[in-house]
Amino acid sequence: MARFAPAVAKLISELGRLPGIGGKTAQRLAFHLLSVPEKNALSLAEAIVAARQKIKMCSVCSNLTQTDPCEICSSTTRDRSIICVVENPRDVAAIERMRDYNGLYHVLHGVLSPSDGIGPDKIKLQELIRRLQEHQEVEEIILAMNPSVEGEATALYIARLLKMSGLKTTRPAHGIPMGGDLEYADEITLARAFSGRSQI
Amino acid sequence: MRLSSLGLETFRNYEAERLAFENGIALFYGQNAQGKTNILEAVFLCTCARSHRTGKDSELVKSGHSAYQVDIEYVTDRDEDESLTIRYDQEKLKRTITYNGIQLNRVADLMGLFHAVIFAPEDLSIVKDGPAERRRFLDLLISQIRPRYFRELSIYQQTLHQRNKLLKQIRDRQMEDDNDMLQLDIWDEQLAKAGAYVMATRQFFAKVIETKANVALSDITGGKEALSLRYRSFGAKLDAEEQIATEYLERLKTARRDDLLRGSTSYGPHRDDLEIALDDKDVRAYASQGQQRSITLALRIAELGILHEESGEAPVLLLDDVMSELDVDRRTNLLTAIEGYQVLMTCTDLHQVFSPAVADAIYEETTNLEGIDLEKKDRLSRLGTIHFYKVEAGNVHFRGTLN
Ligand SMILES: [Zn+2]
Repeated sequence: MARFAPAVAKLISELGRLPGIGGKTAQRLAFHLLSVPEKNALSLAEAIVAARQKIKMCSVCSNLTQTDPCEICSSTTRDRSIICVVENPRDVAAIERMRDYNGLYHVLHGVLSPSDGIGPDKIKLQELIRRLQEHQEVEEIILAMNPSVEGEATALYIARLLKMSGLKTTRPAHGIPMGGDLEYADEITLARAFSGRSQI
Repeated sequence: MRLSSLGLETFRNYEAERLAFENGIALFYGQNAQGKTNILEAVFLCTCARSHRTGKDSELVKSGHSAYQVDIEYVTDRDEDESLTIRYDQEKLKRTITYNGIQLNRVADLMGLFHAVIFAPEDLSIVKDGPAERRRFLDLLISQIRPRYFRELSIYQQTLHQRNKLLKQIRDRQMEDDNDMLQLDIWDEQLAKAGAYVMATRQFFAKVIETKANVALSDITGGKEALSLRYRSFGAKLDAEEQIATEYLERLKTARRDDLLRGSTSYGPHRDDLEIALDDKDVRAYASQGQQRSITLALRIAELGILHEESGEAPVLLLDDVMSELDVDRRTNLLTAIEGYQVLMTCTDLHQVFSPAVADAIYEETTNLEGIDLEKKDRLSRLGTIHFYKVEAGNVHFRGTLN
């Protein structure tokens, strides 16, 4: 293993901690950043800082936003009687892209997974329950977790928690392949999945 | 289906190899540890992305390299040209599967595309070893013909893993609340749903295999012993999948206290077995080595028949050094059972399988084999043309054809 100057080694190790980036890729990225004009590299650094400082979690739906409440939560044209619960902010973006859904969202930031040490207290579930208590106008909850084993378990768990509330809980029916991330499902499949949701 | 080409890149002891196959038998001969079995292993890998010898992909990568690649081209019995590529990168821990140039997202999508059945010395463990080997035999066979089975089995295993983790966490915390119990309820339900399907399907196919294996066994031995395959499970007494699911859920609830103490799940398909008996006697304890070998062969022939019937495609046969282990009668009977299939086989000692004239001619590297008078022992050729390949230190050399 070649030795790098401390600053370079630090950059490589930081890049290597990003998801999907292995050791070799981290090195390639680091040397790329050192070879481009300084302003390009600084602009990336500034973008990271700006995003981190300006982006926060919406106090209503927990989606990532620059304003609080977020655009969707503060919109006057959205249907407030329906909340779509998703795993992460990318899922919101995927559903928004298909322009077929006009309700609100709730982002859990994860799913139940004992093997990763994630229980109900580690995801934004309390926030959802509190939100439902405060907003009596909500009538339907769509549980749009990915159809993975953990996503199914989370949907079932929430449906069970809400059983006494009288709220209608639905799950997008089929169409999304098991183990396929919502994010990668193509828009037609996604649209079909949403129109065919079934009550659980 | 017919395999038309195989490519290996830094796979086991091969650097880069490309083989084209004609109709008939491709016979790979050579000393031990030269790479004969690796060729069959690579072809088998294309059925389920798993080696028949190891569960570790890293063992398949040639030493000093970071990835292997295997690709095949084959023609289906519907006369369509198809291709598969399996690549594994050791550094990225990433497996890439490509079908007709399109990348597949999951191993589940590979199942059922290319069919091959392997007969290997390791097969004896199905009869001799513990329940895990027999479950694996069932799981691999069913997965190839019922894509849903592979999916449900994966769901089952993942759910089991999660439930066991949760059980341990609750136990180690030494306190529990309603949320824990609600979580367990959910995992129980999912476990029972996927598990019931797995149990019902295994039970069904145990019967199908039993019927076919009985025919094959009496063909091989000429004997009249009855072979029975009984799926051992609490679910075996129940018929419908829904009944099994209900019973399973009941058992999970009853066993929850015990499971919490043990930190693991005491009921389910992961504990089941396929009991193999000859005239009602457990073959593990009571069958001779010869009988065990015949039973193993019968199971593989049954597998071949089931795969063929269910998929409508003739599987490619991979025979790893099995001829030399059989006496002449059983060899003849095996050949009858596999007539009409494309065969890739390995052989360590040609003299064990062929007459001296043929074996010597191959060993002496005579390229013209046409003048040789074939003996009864050479009846392997009844299956069609035999193409001889010498395998030496990760290199394959074509040596001639026997008609
Ligand atoms: Zn919001």
